[in-house]
Amino acid sequence: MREIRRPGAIARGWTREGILLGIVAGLLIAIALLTPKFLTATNLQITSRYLVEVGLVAIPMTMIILIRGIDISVGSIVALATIVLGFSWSVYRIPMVAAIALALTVATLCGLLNGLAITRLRVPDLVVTLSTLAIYRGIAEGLGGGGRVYLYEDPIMRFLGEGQILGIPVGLWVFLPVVLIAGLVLDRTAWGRSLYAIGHNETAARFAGIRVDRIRLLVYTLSGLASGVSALFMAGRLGTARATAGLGLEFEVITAVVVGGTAISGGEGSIWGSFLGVVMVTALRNGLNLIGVPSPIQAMIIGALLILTVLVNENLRVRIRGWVRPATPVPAHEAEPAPAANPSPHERR
Amino acid sequence: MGWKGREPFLLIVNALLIVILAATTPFMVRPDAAGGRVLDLSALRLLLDNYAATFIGAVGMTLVILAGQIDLSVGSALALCAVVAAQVSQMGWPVPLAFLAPILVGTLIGLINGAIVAYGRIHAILVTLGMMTLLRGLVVHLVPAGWVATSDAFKGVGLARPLGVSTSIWIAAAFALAMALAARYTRWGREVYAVGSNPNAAAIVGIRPHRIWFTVLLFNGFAIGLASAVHASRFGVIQNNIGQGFELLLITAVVIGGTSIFGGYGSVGGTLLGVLFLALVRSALIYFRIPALWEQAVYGAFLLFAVGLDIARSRAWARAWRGGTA
Amino acid sequence: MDAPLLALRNIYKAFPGVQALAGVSLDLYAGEVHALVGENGAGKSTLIKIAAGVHEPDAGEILIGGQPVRLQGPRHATALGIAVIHQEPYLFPTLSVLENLFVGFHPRRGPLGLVDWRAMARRAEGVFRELGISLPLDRPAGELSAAQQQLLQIARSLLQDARVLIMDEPTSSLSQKEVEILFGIIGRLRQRGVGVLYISHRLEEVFALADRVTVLRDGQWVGTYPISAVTPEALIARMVGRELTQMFPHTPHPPGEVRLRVQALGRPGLFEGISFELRAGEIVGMAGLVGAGRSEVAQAIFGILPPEEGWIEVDGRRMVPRAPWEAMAAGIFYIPEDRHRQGIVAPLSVRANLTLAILRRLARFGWIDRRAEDALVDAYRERLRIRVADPEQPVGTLSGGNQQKVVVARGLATQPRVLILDEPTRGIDVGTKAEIHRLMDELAGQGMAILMISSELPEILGMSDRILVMRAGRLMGELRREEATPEQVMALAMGLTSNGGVQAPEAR
Repeated sequence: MREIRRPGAIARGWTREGILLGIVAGLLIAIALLTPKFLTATNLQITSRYLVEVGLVAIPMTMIILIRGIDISVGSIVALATIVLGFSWSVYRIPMVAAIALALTVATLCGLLNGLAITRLRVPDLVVTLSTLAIYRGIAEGLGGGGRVYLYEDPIMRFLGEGQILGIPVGLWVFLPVVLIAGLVLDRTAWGRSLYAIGHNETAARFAGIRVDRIRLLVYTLSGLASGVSALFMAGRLGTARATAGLGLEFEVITAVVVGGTAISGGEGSIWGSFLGVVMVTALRNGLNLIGVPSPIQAMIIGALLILTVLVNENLRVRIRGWVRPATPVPAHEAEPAPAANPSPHERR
Repeated sequence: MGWKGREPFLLIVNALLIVILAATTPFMVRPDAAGGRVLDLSALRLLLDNYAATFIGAVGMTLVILAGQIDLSVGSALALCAVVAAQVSQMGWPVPLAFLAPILVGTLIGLINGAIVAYGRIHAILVTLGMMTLLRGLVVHLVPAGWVATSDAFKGVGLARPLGVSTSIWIAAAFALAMALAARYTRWGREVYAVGSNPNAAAIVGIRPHRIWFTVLLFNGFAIGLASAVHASRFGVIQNNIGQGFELLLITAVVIGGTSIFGGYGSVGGTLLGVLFLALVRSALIYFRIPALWEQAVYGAFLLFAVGLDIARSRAWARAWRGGTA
Repeated sequence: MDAPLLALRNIYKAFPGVQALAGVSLDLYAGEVHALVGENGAGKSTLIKIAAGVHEPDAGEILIGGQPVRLQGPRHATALGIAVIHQEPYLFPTLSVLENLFVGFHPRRGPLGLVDWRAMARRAEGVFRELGISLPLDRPAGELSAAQQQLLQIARSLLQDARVLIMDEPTSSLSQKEVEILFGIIGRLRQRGVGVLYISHRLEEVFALADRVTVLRDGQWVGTYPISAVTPEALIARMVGRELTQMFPHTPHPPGEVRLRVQALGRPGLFEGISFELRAGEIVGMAGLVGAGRSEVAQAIFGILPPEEGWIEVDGRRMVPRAPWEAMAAGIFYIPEDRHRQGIVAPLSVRANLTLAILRRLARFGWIDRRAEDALVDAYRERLRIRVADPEQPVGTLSGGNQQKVVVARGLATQPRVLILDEPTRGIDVGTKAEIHRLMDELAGQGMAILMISSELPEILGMSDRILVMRAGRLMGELRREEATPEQVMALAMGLTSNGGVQAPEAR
């Protein structure tokens, strides 16, 4: 029986991830050569913690982008979760475990609200998440009052932020299994395959009985939950809870996912690719840090990386999934499935 | 411009807001020596002056959204151009040139955005997201000290008041008027509307959507450059984090002003009212002592609300679309 | 006599797998209304597209005003005075009606070339006066009714100095009143010297309007006649006259119990009062003209377009389907009409497409059982004779016929009790058509209840045990296989009364 990586990609998908793996490996080697500090245990541990924070959010983000959506509110959900965590623990004195539960609940609700606005109110996902980016962070800043809470003293937070099991940071113990599960879900399960179908042709997916709205609601909710978990690790690592947490996270995550080969037009991508993308972006940041590249220049490099990757990816795709048909209308039986851009400006879902 | 659609409604709402503010806060009245109350328009004038740059930026964004695109990099672009203005003015350039520099830089940014979107055939959202981060990085790199100041001569321009109205407002008004007229009376303007309304049909009648998207993004860059020059000349001190959240503000103003987020419908005039509305809301928040930290949430809520209204209106036109993409 | 405005001589056009036009000729004179009739698939739309510059003919000539031309695209055709009034127009819904009239060629004035709104309003009023119509210039075009959108298209063509107006099924969404208005306008167009090429299934209109009528059948020109020289029956006979070949295997099966009962199903604006029964082992054909509402009824039964009135009963259980999964759970499956947009997911593999509707069934705890999936795919591949080298190929690389088989297999895999097929053999080569028909017969023999929507008369007559005919959203009648003739079906579909007259479409 042939081992097939995922639906529809034949050999191409495998080769794409193979190439990506090669690039990432090359990058890591280059960085290691440029700065010996890269491969030290301490450095790897610190980097991997950051990797976990980005990576956890990248997983549902991959799914969202697969079905032609986007979520730019993840950073703000992190902020809100962090504030809820910190302030409920320090100001209202509830036990840390309860604070964690509360923070995760809030984060999941944020994701759920995003999903509901998109599926019920039919507001385009870009607009919803742009609004909630502001609303959630605004609430976080309002609640936080500009202050910060120190979380060093709490053992759970210290464990999340600095703890190791068998020399491997706690975060990885959570993240890697999640990657594995998510990757397998996308490759091998019914639900996963539905995502690819929706991303390529939502109408046909509906006609095949796939419950598109329910799936969409679920992935946005998962995005909220993942942001909440990421917030926990971040708060543990930084030792503080502030409303500025997670600023710019959506950018890192989206860059990682796009670099990992997921197409903004939907239907193409994989968790494995996104994982490699996260590794690449995180390693790049870390490497640049170690070399001594100042943080603003890093931002420029990564910004340019996103733009270049999108340019290359989208233009390598042979199918024309643009907004515009050629000037001579193509006869119906030769026509492509009608593009539903992000969001489809004038078509109803 | 067309005084139909949402503009009359907005005019009324804005007027109402002004009245409420006047009645309940010292916004427009102050007690005079005799114990009575006197109309004092200085707060309103200050408001308009402060928002001149926003007006200009919003006009640019209106055209981008009318064409069916979006530009998330405006905040970072604003910062970069303002920094350029400050630095060249400090280097001793004559004021007119110091005004021109940020405009050129802004236009260049718009050109790059436009080229990538139009010729790379990608939707603007990812490109401008990347550009947003890239430019912000550049700004922080150029201003490691955290802020930079313009020369006094430059600042003087912003504070001057020919005929009692500040230069910022003159520029903003002239720009907005020119753009409103262009949108309505030039072939380019009408093509922008057509492309936003139905890019496929536009292609069929011979309009090139990619060319239009290129030009609106280029133009938006110019607008941001101009806005930054106005801002820099008014405030004098540029912090390296200005402009954060600017894109949200502009998009919200545009949508509240009656422009459809999907493109093809809206007006410059409406956007101006939208900016005024948000400015008044902010003043209200200040006067009612709601902490500034909540502002963002308020804007976000307004955006969601305005787009929700927009969608409800769009539903009525859903039928025509089936033919448009045949 | 002057040269015809438009002449098409001996046009040939082939698409992969099908010869759409073989030696068709037609001409149109100034001030003439020339009707073009033929069944679905006869080649009418291809001919229009060639006249409009959308396609290039493989062979044959196009002459405009007596001069041979090679049309380089729709803009070229428009520039030469040929305009098409589409059923579903290209509109700018957010722009005003006034602007929609002029998009692409706004009148301008002055040294700056500014858009001259006043001239636009003036010319628009002028055209409206000439046509005897009135449209709200300031409202967004998206608010217009279908009839008004059509008037807008006509006005726009006149503003572009069209000499030839090709109207494609112009009255399919119009009320009686609106049709009368349209006829009045066509009269004025005639007076202006415009030539109208009028494509319609509605014979009463053809006889009311046309000077001449051309009949196409299976891509061939059958004849062109002055309207006074033919009767509706004669036309229908020429449209359908052919041998019913052995393309339609049909073994009579005694129908079993009632599987599906549809009761007073309605969705105002699309269809209403639809009631019928479907029994195990029978194939019921649903005939009707384009726009009659057949697909909408089927999609309502499947839950894609939930009905607003009425209900259905599957195996005796009553329900109102609100989503496809509900219908599928009750045992219904619908093979959609538009293979590309609604059927296949082109970049996904044949295997993934085939199993798309039964993913859950193939999965244990969500995990897809790859071996069971492969076995299933192989089984259906063989049973339906799907010709594909490798099931991992993207389904988009398959021929139309094989793609259709994949979609059918997808439906069969759900083991439905009721199978609805919407235009199952449209755009497919003859050989695969026969195979699909054979499959349908087999399925019926095994007790499946099948509802087949088709616009191809031979298919309806050849495959159905019973024929339901829809027109304008209503069920007009039911014919049994033994008693059905092509003329009868067409008569019901077009509203011809039994004494040979023509009946106007009912008021909506």
